Amino acid sequence: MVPTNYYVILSAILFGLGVFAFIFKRNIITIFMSIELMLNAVNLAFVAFSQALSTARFLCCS
Amino acid sequence: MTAPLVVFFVLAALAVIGAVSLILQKHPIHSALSLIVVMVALAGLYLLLGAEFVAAVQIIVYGGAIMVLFVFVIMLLNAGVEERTSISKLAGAPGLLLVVALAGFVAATIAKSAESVHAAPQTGELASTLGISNMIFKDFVYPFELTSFLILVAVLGATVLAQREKS
Amino acid sequence: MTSFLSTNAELVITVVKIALLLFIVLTVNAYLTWFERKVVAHIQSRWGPHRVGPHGLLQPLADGLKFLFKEDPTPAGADKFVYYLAPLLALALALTSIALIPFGPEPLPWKFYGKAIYLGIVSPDVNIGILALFAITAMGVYGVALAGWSSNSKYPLLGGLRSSAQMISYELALTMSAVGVLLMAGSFNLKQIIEAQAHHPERGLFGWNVWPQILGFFCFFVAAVAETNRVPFDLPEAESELVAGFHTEYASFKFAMFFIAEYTSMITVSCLCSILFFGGWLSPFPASWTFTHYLPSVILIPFGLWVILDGFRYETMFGRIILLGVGTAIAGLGAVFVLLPNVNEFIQAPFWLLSKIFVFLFVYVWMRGTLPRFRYDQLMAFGWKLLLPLSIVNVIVTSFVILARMTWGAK
Repeated sequence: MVPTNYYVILSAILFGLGVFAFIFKRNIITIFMSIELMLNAVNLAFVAFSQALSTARFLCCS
Repeated sequence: MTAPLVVFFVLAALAVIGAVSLILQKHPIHSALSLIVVMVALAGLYLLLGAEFVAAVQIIVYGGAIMVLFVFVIMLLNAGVEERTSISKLAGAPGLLLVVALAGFVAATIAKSAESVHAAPQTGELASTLGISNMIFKDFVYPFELTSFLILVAVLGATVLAQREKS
Repeated sequence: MTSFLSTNAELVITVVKIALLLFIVLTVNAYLTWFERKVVAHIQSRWGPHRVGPHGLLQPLADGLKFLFKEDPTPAGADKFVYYLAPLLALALALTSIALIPFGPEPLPWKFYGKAIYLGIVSPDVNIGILALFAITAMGVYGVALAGWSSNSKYPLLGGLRSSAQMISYELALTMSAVGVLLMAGSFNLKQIIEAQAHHPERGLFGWNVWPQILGFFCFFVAAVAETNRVPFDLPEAESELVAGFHTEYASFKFAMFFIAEYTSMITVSCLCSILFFGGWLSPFPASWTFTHYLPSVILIPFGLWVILDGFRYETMFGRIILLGVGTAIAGLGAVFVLLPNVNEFIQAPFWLLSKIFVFLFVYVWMRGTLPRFRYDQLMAFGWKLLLPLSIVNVIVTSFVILARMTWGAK
């Protein structure tokens, strides 16, 4: 199984990329899209934690 | 290198490539298409996590409704044909470094504190459709109804705003 | 080599099934175009294709060759990436939805290195079967919208916008009208939906979902026809209205891809209608009438003999040879089913499913030959003001009935 930390790191990377796009893009539609990207990154973290908690311990081994 | 790990890396790479492409594309429609790729990759990751209902709803709602809305807006408003992505080089590099620092900090904090949390064992049934609907319609029915009311208010507001002024 | 096969048996089976199903679906598409042209022609009192091969049976081959060799211009100023992406997307999504459909409940009698081979790419137990199908349908809007926009031309843009607005509107009615069936079956799983209609096997066809859900069936079928952009809802691609709508600027192979995508979604919708409302692979006869198990042979053998007879009297030599061969194959298949009883038992389920799919495809083609098309505002009003409220009413009534049964319950 995939360790939970991998999902969290991916979520953080996507969130960071969303923040970068939010700050540096000039088109308003693209800025809205980067907000969606940030929301989805957080969503991924939620679902990863939900699976981790339901298996009663965080998966830590590869 | 087990199969789930390989699938995870493929989907994660797809998501990151989509997000980077969102930033680097000049035309907003290409950014929208990249975001659709990210959504689908995330749906695959949800499937990998065992949340099948969330994966299907992610594609239906995000990929099939929200992104369609974005694509329509870009097509109809001819939004920013050839937007200049001359991210000024002076600001771009330190900006990127700061974002990497932010992401790394977030990831490290959560990863460190994650290992010390132990929850009571539950069955893996919460993510199934039955589990989700039990939660929505039994335990959390008031927030659910209030949220739908909120969405209704938003729809009404948008309709009123879009009316032409009665001259 | 054998050790590779035995450790990756599942993967090898899936890859072979994908290749086989792809080939079958593309061939069925090609002959569906032949079928449509023949039936529409006969409705309009003319012959349809009858020169290329016997009864025009090789017409799809000729069309395929034409598509391959036609000139393929790209409009000036078109966004190249999106222009090439749109037909690919439409085709990929349409073909993916066929992968989720189970064609039979039991696996083949032979195991491959210990793994059972099911009929259908994914084994029938996909817990979100129908939800995933709706997800793929929802993504189909992109093929149309992006095709219309990327052609950099007025007619495609208008056609694409209208078509995608139509698809989004009818998608709501489509999913809502299927909810009644889901409530009755209690699962998204297509196999369980069919099994929920088999609770009373002695009722035969009266146990199917179409009787309690007749309103849902009509809403679903109409919404599905609108979703696949077929007559009477094909204004966005009608020739007299918008040149050819969103695929005006597409020629040869890219147009063929849109074409194949449309026919494949027709096939998917027919599969869904038969699975959700008409009992899928269940026989319409009560289970105790075991003599009806010979029905496939009873249909195939006379049909094969008729084709052979036609082959004797056909005009051209080439046609005679082909018809004799095809007729012998069909009659031989029917004979095999009579002679081998366990093959006959196995073939019952796919036979009924395929017959129902064929009936729905015939109804699709029949509508094309008969009905005039909706005007665009009539179309949108119909979808939002009639179909969606009707499907919501269907859901409410179904829920009340199920609740009443549970509270004062009988069975």
